[in-house]
Amino acid sequence: MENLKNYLFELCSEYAPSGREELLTCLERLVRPSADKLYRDRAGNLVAVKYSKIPGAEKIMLDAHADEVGLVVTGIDDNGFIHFANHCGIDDKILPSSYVTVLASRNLTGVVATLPPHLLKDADSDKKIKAKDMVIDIGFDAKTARELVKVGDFITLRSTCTDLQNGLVLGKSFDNRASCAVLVRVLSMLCSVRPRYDVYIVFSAAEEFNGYGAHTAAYNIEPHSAIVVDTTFGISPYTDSYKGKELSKGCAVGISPLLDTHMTESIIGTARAHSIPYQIEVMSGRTGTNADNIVSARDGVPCTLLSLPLRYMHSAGEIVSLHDMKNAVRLILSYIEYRGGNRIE
Amino acid sequence: MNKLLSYYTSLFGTSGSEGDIRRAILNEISSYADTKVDKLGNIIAFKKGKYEPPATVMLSAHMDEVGMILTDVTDQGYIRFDTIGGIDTRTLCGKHVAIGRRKIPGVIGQMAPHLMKKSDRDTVKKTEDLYIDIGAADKEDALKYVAQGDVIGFRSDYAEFGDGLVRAKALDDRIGCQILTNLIKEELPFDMYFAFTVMEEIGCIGAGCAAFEIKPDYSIVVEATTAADISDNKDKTSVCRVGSGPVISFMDSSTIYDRDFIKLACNAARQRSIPYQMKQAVAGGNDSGRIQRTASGASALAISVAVRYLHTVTGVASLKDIDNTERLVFALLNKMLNV
Repeated sequence: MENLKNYLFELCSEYAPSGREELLTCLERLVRPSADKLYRDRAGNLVAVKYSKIPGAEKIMLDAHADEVGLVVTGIDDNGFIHFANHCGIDDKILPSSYVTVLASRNLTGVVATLPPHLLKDADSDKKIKAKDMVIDIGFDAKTARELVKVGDFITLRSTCTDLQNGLVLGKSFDNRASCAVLVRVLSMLCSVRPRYDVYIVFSAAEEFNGYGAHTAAYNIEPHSAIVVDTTFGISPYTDSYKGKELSKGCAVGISPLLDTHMTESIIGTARAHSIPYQIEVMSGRTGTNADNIVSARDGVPCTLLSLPLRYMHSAGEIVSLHDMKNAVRLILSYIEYRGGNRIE
Repeated sequence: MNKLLSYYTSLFGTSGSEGDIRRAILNEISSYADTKVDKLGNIIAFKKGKYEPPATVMLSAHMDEVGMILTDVTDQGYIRFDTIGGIDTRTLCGKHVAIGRRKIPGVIGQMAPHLMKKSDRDTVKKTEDLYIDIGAADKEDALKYVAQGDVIGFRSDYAEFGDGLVRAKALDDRIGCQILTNLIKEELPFDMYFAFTVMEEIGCIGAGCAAFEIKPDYSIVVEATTAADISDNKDKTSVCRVGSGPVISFMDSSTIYDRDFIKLACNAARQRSIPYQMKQAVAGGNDSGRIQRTASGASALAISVAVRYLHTVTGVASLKDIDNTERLVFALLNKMLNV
């Protein structure tokens, strides 16, 4: 678990909103030693390949999106404050007084400005502050701010990673760096198992935007099948079991009309055979993950979906379980490992 | 980097739980002044100066900061809380916190935007509808780490950024604590008292008791005050501006300041070419209100550093303002000797 945690915390120390995935430089460094082949494609996906030693092995694609939610600069006013719009996925309510990083000509730290309570009227404090009424304070006057920051620069949430109790961890962009960390670990362990597939690990771009990364990667790689690793809603005081999954009870195996039934059954069979804890997450169609983007590539790619339960998604205070991450690694490796007999289910 | 400010702001000390910051200040100043801690926890320090004092002068800054207090733990192990001091609940979602003496880390959660219905999007949650998550399995597990009544502080890192600005939690009023600490280490023009007070944010409780002990003729409160100089605030007053120098108040919701004392401070600033600004609103309040009406009363003055986003997880202030505030207080003290 210590390995996984180190990967995760390192991956979350960098900022890479959708469209700027190349900024996640530590990812390349982490996977390079274990990959037979490593490349970044035109869409911004980072692809690490590990070939099977079994002749005629098919390709499997393991996908985890590497991008994170963010904001985008729309203007710099005469006082040097940054005006912004939602780039993807952030709810206005977490923004007041949040730390952010403006990905300008250099990384700039900033604070989302709020009026102090001393100046608020009672009625004000019941009103939601809308993103269009907020500005970001980067501490420079207009001239310097305009030199450093350009309209169109991206902005991300900023926070540090922390250990909580019972193997839970707290930080930003765990959606979906937690899954990236899982796949980094899977890749490093592939040397010690005999994969029955050529494994194409795709750290995909722009899932939080519209998923063009995973879609084009699936087109280029032409996999026989794909496992998508993402996060799902954790049960919390704000989310019950209708949509949420418990943390530390295993990763959630998706069941949905869009996902491949045989593959999903095979994954569940693998989990049972190896006593790996798992949960079932039922969806009624689209999954809200890259499975939706991969399934329709070329003539179709059978997909299965593993999701790590995560609380407070798309905030600077997301929580995941290291136990779930560890079990996801075990499950994926067990599924991929060659055990003789029929290669394909 | 302003190391002392970084250190002082890194410590947790919500109202009534000022132990850590009190120990830190005592550690800094006890070799420079006679110090004692009173029954409420105020530090009262006396330092000899070059000359006899013209009157009894008390400088003060409050040690406490706003925060939260644990009221209950749910069966599932989530923490419910109330706020200590004036906090805008809307700034709480998604912020990192530390709980109790052991500083157990946690986060104030919120619903994933994907799951929000329109009614969730448009409404603001009240404090009683927010929960802190420490990763506990259930109530019994949570109570191994925290207890009812534990105080809860914001976790945020100190950083200097932009054009000579600093962002940190608790700048209100660790800035004042830092300035007073520096002054105590200087050679002072005359004998004077310093008070580092408790419980300002819940009604200026400590300052009254400190003033009762010292019985000052003149009180100078060194504070952090509301800067609303943010750009979407055109229709309202900016109160004061970050980077425009120390802020001198003529009046706020708790005090009418002494006009002659204000004039003296302004003159001191002009003579030493220290920029200053008058606070342009009757808003907020500070320890002066208590000190002014304690015992037979004192002439009150407040000199403050302009801080944006007061009472949130992070404030923003100008390092130059902090420096100039210290210079202005020192210049004023010298001027008081000659009056």
